[in-house]
This record gives sequence, C-alpha cells and structure tokens, in this order.
Amino acid sequence: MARPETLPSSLREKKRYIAFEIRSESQVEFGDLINALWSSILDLFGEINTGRISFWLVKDLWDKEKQKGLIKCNHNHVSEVRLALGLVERIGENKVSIRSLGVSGTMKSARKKYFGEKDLTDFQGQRKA
Amino acid sequence: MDFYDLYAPVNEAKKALELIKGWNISGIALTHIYEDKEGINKYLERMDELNSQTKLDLVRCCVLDPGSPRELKDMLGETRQKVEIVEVDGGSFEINKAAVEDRRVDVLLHPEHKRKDPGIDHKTARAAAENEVVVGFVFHDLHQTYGKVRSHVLEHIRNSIDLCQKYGASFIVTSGAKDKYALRGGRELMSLPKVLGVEKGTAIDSVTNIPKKIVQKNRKKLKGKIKKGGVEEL
Repeated sequence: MARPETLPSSLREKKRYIAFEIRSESQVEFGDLINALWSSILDLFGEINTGRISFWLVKDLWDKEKQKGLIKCNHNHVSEVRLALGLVERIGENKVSIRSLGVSGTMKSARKKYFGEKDLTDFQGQRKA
Repeated sequence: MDFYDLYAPVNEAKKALELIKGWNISGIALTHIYEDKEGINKYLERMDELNSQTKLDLVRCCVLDPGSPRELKDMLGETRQKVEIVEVDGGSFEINKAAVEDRRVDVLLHPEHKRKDPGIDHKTARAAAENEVVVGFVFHDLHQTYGKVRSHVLEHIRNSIDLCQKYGASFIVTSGAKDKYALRGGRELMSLPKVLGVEKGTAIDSVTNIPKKIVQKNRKKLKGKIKKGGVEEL
C-alpha cells in the first residue's frame, strides 16, 4: 500500500522523551497505567490541547520490575505532561506517586540515562586503552 | 536544584521520608496542625528524633486554622517563637486579610480554598508584599477536585498568581500531602505555575529559592541573629 514519505527532519515536529518512575503499594499493570495517564491528560487539557501535546506512552520501554516508563511529547509541552503525571493519584486499585526522572531529546539517550542500557559506543574508550 | 516542600502534613513521617529518598528534595516541612501548646512540644520532640535519622533538611512548621482574626493573633503569640515556619490555612477572606497583614505569618496557604473567588484582592496582595507574607498554593487541592471544580480552582490560582506578580508578593507551591503517596517531586510542583503562564525562572524560584530563603531567615531570627527592625548580626 502506498504511504507518504517520511518528512525531512527539519519539517518534523520536535519531541522530548520524559522518563518517569512510579512508587506504589503493589506493581502497576501497563493497561491500567495507560488508561490513568490518558484520562489525566484529557481531563486536564481537553482533546484539542492533548492533540497539541502529542502525548504518547512508549510500550516497549515499560519496565514492570522497576516500574519505570517513557513518554514522548512535543518539545514545547513538557510541563503540561509533568503536571498531568503529578495529578495521577490512583492507578487501578493502587495509590501512586509518579515522579519524572528527567527529559531527553532522543530515545537513545533516554534509554542510556534512565534505563541503564548500553551500546557499543560505551565500550570504545575501553578498547583503545 | 534545592527543592523545598513547605506543607506536607503526612501521617506516616518515617515512611514518607523513605519514599522521597533520591527525589532531589533538599528540605521538607512535615507540618503540624496547631491545636494546643502540648501538641507543639510533642511535635518538636518527634522532629528532633526524625532529624537524627535523615539527611534531609527537616523544617519545623506549624499550620494555624483560626476561626477569627482575634484567634489568629493568639495562636501566633503561642507558636511564633517555637517553630521555624508559621503557615495560616486560608479560605475565609477575613482570615486571609488578617494573615497577610501580620508580619509574624510566613505563608498564607490556599487563599482560594472552598471559595468561589481567588480569596485575595489587590489590597491583600499589596499587604502580602509589604509584610513579606508568601502566598502558598497546594497541589493536593487539585487531587481532591475534578472537572468543573478543578477548572475553577486553576482559574483562581492563576488570578492569585497574577495579583502576586503585579504587587511584588512571592508565592510558593507545596504538595499538601496527607499521605505519603500524595507527595510530589519538585519538578512536578514547579510545573503548576509554569502551565499557568508563569516564566520558568519564577516557577523554579517558587519551589527552590523562596522557601529556602524563608527557612534560612527564620532560623537566624530564632537564633537571635536578626534583631527587631531587620538588623542582622554578622
């Protein structure tokens, strides 16, 4: 099926990745998390503004053990997402406290900084030595 | 950044302190709600005990919930020399007005609480600036409301912030957490004024520099290093 070409990077919307961590009485399921986050952001900002925020929860990076996750959003609306995270009081049956760990410009750097992932570039210095 | 949360009347203090480990929070006021003199003494003993167990800057803070301006003055007389921060639970316009007109008050908490207006006007905002009373907004108020009511609360907070900025009064944002899971990180608290249109620098100050300065100034006062009239002993 024909698809539009990927836009050049200069025309693409600039994005940020917000890493977050959940503290709660028991482990939170991804399905409950996504419902809670979407309802928080929609309640707070409405449908039109949520569209501008370009909110997206990255499923692949949800760490169930450490209860950490990553959110993608527009680079001008990081504070809006942080406020929406702060306003989540319950996920499913659990009382929760969500804290943002930090913000990064690419998914690669977010993985390295906040999820402890490594790639070959991390070992280059060691090989030379 | 040194984040300070100056209003957290948490029940389980030890568990709350464990939860916020590694959250970049430098100081927290595990607030005591004033009832009588004995209650304050017990609170101070408990805080001394907790202080030895944590590296966080624990601020001794008391919230007054008076029924009338006269009662507020009596309560201030009993608490001011004992705790580092004295906060007044706002809501009633009479109390809001009396609080911002008294230099012994440090923070007026949620002036818009349970009201249909911001709870402060141009005169009270000017009085707050003159008497160095800080207006405090409580994040937990947003947890307790939703829909129409939450939108009104946000509108009142925005109006109060505008008045504070116009007349030069400071404002802070606090968590107001009654249980440990209602505690929030500094950046989450900071996002509230930022979303309401405040500049980034001012929003950062509302959770870092302003609360820190109040605490430092009052500690000096309690040690007697700042005399009456604002003269500081160096």
